[in-house]
Amino acid sequence: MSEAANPVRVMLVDDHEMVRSGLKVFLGVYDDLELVGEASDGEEAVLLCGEVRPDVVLMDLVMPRMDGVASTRAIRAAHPNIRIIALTSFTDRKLVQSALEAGAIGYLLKNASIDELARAIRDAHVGRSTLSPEATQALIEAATAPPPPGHDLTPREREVLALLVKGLSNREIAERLTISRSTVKNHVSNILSKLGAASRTEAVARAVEHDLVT
Amino acid sequence: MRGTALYNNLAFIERYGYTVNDLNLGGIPETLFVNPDVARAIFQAVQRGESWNGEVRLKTRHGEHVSTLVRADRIADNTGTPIGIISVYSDITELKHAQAAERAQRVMAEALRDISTALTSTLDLGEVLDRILDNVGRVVPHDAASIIMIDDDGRARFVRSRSYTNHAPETASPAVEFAVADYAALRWMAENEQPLVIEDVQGDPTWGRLPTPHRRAYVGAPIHLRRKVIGFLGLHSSTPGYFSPTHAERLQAFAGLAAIALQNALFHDQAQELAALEERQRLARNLHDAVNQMLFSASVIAEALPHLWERDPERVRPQLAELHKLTRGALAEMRMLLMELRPTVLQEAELNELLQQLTDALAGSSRLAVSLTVEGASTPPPEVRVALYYIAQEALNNVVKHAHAKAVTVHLQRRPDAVRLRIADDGRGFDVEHAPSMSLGLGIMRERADAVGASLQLTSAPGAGAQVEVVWSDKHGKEPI
Repeated sequence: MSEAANPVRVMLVDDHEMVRSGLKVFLGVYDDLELVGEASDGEEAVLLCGEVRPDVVLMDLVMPRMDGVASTRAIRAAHPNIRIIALTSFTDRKLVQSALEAGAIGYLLKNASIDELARAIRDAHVGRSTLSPEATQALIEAATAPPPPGHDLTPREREVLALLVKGLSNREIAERLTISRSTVKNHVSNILSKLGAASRTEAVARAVEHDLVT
Repeated sequence: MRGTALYNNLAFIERYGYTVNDLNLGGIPETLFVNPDVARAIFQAVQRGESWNGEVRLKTRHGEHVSTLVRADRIADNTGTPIGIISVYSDITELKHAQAAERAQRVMAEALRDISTALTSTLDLGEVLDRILDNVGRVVPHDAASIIMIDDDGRARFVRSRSYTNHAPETASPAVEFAVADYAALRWMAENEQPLVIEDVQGDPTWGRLPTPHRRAYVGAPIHLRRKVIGFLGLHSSTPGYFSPTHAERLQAFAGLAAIALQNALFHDQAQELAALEERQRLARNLHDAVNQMLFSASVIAEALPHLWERDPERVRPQLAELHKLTRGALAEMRMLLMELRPTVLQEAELNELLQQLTDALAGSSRLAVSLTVEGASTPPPEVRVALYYIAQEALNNVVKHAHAKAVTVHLQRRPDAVRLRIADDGRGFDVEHAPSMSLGLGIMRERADAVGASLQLTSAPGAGAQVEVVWSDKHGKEPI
């Protein structure tokens, strides 16, 4: 490989020391890639970015103190030119979505080959996105999945549902929200129909199952 | 005053059936009173000028005995001379029955309350089943008792049976499964959620081929939770026709209590299973995390090595060593996690092997220089080995998380009657007096040491590293190390 004029400046963020040391070996064998910094958590990464100004960051997502999603958001806000590639073992739909929403340009799994890693870094540097097949699959599933039950509940209905989950009766809910019992009855029947539940108990079960109340 | 009746009112005639003549012909005491002496005593008392009040047993013309409240007063003429007796008779049979029933109810309610406490004061399923059979005799007397439970797949089996006669219980063993639907008696109870009394199981078609051939009377009640029958409680008597509808009602009430206790125990079992499942999931996450990181790093290095060979052959050898350390660490981590999933393997392993795995895993996953030295050979009891293993694991975790150390040494000294384990690092140390014990897991380490009678000593100072030392000595051993 020939000596590159302007190597891509790469920073590694991972709480596992052995992962960083492996990646260091990998960066060492490509002339067009240059290691400029290492951080062991999200917070350290934000600070170090200001100092070393990398072109591309390889960012682990699950880390102590500040996780990779929050760190990505903070780095992108402060340095819009820095490209960030999420590099993780996890492919949950929510994690993929939140990493991309936070501003990551790529999402790779910790099973990528070094050629894939090198290509993704170069592409990121020129603004091109790389997603692992698993991450793409997760995004497609997210886009095609039907809306979760209860997505159409009004804020008031959510409030009533939360009190239902606590086991309150219509009378108690009316007192708590200072509304009439017939209004509560209306809300409850709307909730049941929106959740497709036959009874209060079933509505409570749906709410708990789908995390509709906090 | 010879005791001649002069007048009976209509109500008296209706209730007791006697006319004045009837009484006078036979004599009042002999005709009306179950015990004629009582009547004579009443007449004497009234003749002395007293009023008489009390409960007596009278017999009607039809021979029925009636509990009656009697009030007898003297009638005097205007000179004060006694000329007769007026008696008021009140039939209190109904009242007596009601009182007896109320008493029985009260005794029953008290028994049920006691039983409820006894049944629900344990969460162990086997214990609950035993207590059900211990207590059911307080509400319905019987010669033999059994509990059938139905599992989630709808298969029934006898889980408990007892006999209080010379016969051994003739129920089938718990290993024998059967379908409730095959036995009309059980099916009827399950479908109707009602108790069932069978006068004599011999020759009763609903009994079918259920065991207990030489028992005769049967009363059973379904045990149901939220409209789902989970079992049956059955009582037997060697006297045909022994069990009454009242027995059935009582058994049903008792089965209700048994259901609550069983539900609690079943929920408890499920909660235990859930906790075990969560523990396995935690291990799986750790496995995923630690092993996956090491293997990812190893594969990146292995892939880069050929390139490195061409560019900088000098650097290949140290990277091969690194590769070896990573794969060895991943292996150790795998073995450790598998061992934690199967505690018997952990209990059987030698302490030096366990420590070897811990230190291999640590060397693979960190930059720390890790050394293990083992002196002597002895095998302390399993619980001591397991405790020391967990203490070492916790101590090494602390070094990784808090110590900022470069090196850590693990030293194990074993003698037949004592073991000493020391984990020391060269990190930044801390003020032992003000150590946040929870965050360093010191509390957990101390608890583990205390549980096996070992002593744990923590030594550290800012800038001077930290050392955890655990010493266990056999109680019968004379000198500690």
